[in-house]
Amino acid sequence: MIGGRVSSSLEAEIVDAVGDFPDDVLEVTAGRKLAYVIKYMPAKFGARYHARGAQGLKISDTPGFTWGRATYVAPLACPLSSGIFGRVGVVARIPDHGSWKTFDARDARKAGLYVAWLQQQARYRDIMLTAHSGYLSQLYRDAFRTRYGIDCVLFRPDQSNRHYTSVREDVWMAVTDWKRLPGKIPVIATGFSERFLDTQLTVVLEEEFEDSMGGIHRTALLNLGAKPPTGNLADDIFYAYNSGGIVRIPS
Amino acid sequence: MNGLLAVAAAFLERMTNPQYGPDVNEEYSFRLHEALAEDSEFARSFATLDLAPDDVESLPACAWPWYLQWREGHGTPPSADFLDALFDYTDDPAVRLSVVDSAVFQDYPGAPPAGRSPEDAPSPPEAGDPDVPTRALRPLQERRTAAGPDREPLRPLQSPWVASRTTRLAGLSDPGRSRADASEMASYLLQLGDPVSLENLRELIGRPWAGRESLILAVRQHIREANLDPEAAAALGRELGLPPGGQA
Repeated sequence: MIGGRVSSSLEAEIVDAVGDFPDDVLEVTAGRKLAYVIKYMPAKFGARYHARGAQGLKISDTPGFTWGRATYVAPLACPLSSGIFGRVGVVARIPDHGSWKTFDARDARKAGLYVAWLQQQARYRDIMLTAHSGYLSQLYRDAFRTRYGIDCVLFRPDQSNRHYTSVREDVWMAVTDWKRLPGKIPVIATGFSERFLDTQLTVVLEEEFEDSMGGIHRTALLNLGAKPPTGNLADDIFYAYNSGGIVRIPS
Repeated sequence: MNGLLAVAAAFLERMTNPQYGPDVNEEYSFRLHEALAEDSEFARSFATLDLAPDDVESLPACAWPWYLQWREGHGTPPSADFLDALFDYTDDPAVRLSVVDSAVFQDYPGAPPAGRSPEDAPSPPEAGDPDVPTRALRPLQERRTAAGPDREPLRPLQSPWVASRTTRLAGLSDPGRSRADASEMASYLLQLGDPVSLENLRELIGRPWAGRESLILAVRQHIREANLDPEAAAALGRELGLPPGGQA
């Protein structure tokens, strides 16, 4: 599914809104950018990433993810932001990010284009007026990304714990893997992503989280009151990644 | 009964039912994809399950859209009989949309018909290609013209499954239900939006059959409700072959 026809002016605006990947989201200190990302996951999967590059990052393909079927990561510049999703942080390289066609949904005007696109879809009412909104939302977001060839969506965190996540400043990424079938429109791939290279378990959080408010808030279960790490955590993690070490973050 | 599905049902329910929450859904998805990646024989059999109409109850309804979508990328879709049975099994628009998607995707021309130029096959968009929208959405009339006056026309894209469903609609004794069903099918094809879905809709509109008038009215209503600008609405109407002037 690539979605139904929309107004010509809206179509042109969306095409214009899909642009190059903005390098500034990779900036860890002034002028220094690291083309690395981090994905947090439950400890039960962490060991698979202990050896460098042994396992690709999982493409999330079940309903409930903000921008549909994609691999969800944060730039290393936001090193703890998505730590609310698991105790194990896996770092990976993104060598081809310079060619990613990117939809920057942090920009309210651009995010509004998606909403306007949605409102012109033939089955739009199903999302608004039925109990099927979760699954259908995923379908529509996948259709939008497929129609406009979007490799990466940037967005602000929509789940948070204020000690770890800044909903105003942090950046999360939904990255698309494409599966090409002869003669057909590419479909969004499932399984394990090939976009991220040299994955490695590099961070272990002491804290554990669970959903509250239906998942909007991620409540810390230990809350032992340790102070946030000082210094440049992204650099510490990068150093550990390159030296085969593990950064341990106290609760 | 399909033994593999019987064993997989509980697993796939935990993977696809939102009631279990994203953590559980993703845990099961991770485990399944790990098995698919490491066991090619399992992946092959899972992608080519021979599904019969009475298999529709083998999985929870929430698992079918996931499975049909996954299978699009890994094998051929299930048989038309099975898709028919699944479509009739539930009124759930998510399941029905997935069924139509699966049926139409199957009929997407993977290669030009024998003896024709490869240019006759619709070109797939490339990820990251700035021309993706223009290439994917090149209007149907333009694609027809591109075939050239001296060449054979593009092969018909009418999906046998869509044709069979709509022929059945025309035979319904209840005109109210016939209209509603025609409107629903039109909305799914418009929603899918790819060239093959729109071509199917165009051919349904163009051929003489008892439900044609209802279908045209339904398509006009969907276009009106989408609130497209007049230019886009008129262009879509022309592409779909709607009679001019609002007449059926």
